[in-house]
Amino acid sequence: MNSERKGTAVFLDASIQIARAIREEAQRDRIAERIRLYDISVTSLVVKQEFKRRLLGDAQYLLNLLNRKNSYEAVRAHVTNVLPKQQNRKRTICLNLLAQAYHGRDDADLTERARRMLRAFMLTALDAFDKVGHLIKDSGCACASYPVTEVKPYKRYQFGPNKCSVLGGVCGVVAFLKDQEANLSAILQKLQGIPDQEKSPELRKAEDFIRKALDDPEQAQAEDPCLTVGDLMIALESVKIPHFYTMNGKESQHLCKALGQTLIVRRNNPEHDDVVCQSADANWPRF
Amino acid sequence: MEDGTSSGPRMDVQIRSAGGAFAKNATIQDARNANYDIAYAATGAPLTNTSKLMRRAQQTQPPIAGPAKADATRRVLADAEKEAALMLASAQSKDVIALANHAFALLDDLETLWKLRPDREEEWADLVNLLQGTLGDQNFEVLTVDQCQVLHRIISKHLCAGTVGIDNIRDTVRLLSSIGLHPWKPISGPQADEL
Repeated sequence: MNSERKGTAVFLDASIQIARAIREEAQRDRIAERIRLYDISVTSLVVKQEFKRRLLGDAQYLLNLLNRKNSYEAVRAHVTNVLPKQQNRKRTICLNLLAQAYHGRDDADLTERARRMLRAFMLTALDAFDKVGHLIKDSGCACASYPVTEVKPYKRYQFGPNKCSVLGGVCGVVAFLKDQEANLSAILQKLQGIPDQEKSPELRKAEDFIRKALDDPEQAQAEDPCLTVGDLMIALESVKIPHFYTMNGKESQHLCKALGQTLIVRRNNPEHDDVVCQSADANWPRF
Repeated sequence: MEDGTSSGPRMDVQIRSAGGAFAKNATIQDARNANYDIAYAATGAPLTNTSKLMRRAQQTQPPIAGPAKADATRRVLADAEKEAALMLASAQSKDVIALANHAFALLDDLETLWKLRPDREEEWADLVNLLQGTLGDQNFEVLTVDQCQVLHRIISKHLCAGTVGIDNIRDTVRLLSSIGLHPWKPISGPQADEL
């Protein structure tokens, strides 16, 4: 790996936090290697909310399937054959190695073990956010403060609300966005310079949202920004941290460039090195 | 009546918390019991409370175990704790073969405890499951003194606790992660590239 000038802090995106929880050892080691280069690691409320929604949502989905099919093998087959390919690729939790971890078990035993593991995971995985050096709370994202609650063991779980619009004055997103006017304008200018055909749906949504938020920030909460433009909100939360670490370069390349950050992209294959895009460099690789 | 059944109205009988009491398999008793709303297993299997258990969120009440089963669990727990202590001692004296052998013995104890899980609370079984998943394919020879120390602590403080709840699981996850052992190994893996 290329040696890096040691910075003081690195911001950990949702994709990195998710990978630290449930990716294979080689990938977790690569991430740990990168984080060790910094004095502290930082993350944020919207990252925590994304983690809860995506990763723990996946866990809940798999637990529901296990309850329905009562078979580990049937659930494996289901996610491979029934789930649309695009959705399957986006899944975070991998059940394929469970049989390897508990070798020589029958399907009934693996089914029970999978259920237990997913339950324990849902109830404790958010603790990982206590281990990050610092949690940025500037966005005032209220959804992130709700823990996972077990209503019925193995059957029903509540994650709290996931929409800013239902939280009224408890959510701090309006005040946060008012404070971010300069950064929002910088990002908007950057996005407007990207040809339409090169903009991902997420970037188009972000551009739309920024226009509305600059025009009337009071209405921003109704747009559920943490849910609909999470990448943008995370970028704004991270703005004080010079280095931004993510597994998703597609949107971050534009957001980090606009905010003057150094972007570090962890590749999906742990054998590949991180791609480092220095803030001072005019040209960055395309993701 | 001649066949031993009652001709009277059906009676609802309060289901007792039988705690593993046995019911004798007698045909007269079978026939008599046809008129009672009672949980009864004609095979002579233990009476169990069939009312719905209202589980407190995040901590379940352990089933009522017979004395023999409770004793068996206690003995295996004591052995697991002993093996974990011996792992630590072996790691400290750098005897990797002994370390591995005691670790295999601990795994065997965990397997026995897994089979005894019906008599314990859900979180206790979750804890056994977590430990088995973490250690299942671990190369024991490379475990460090720190790792063995933490494993011993988890076994003695959490697994051997009187009642295991979600906080025991929480602390175990934290401890395992702190020593570089991944508690979620069974549900971890590589991810396909995005399209």
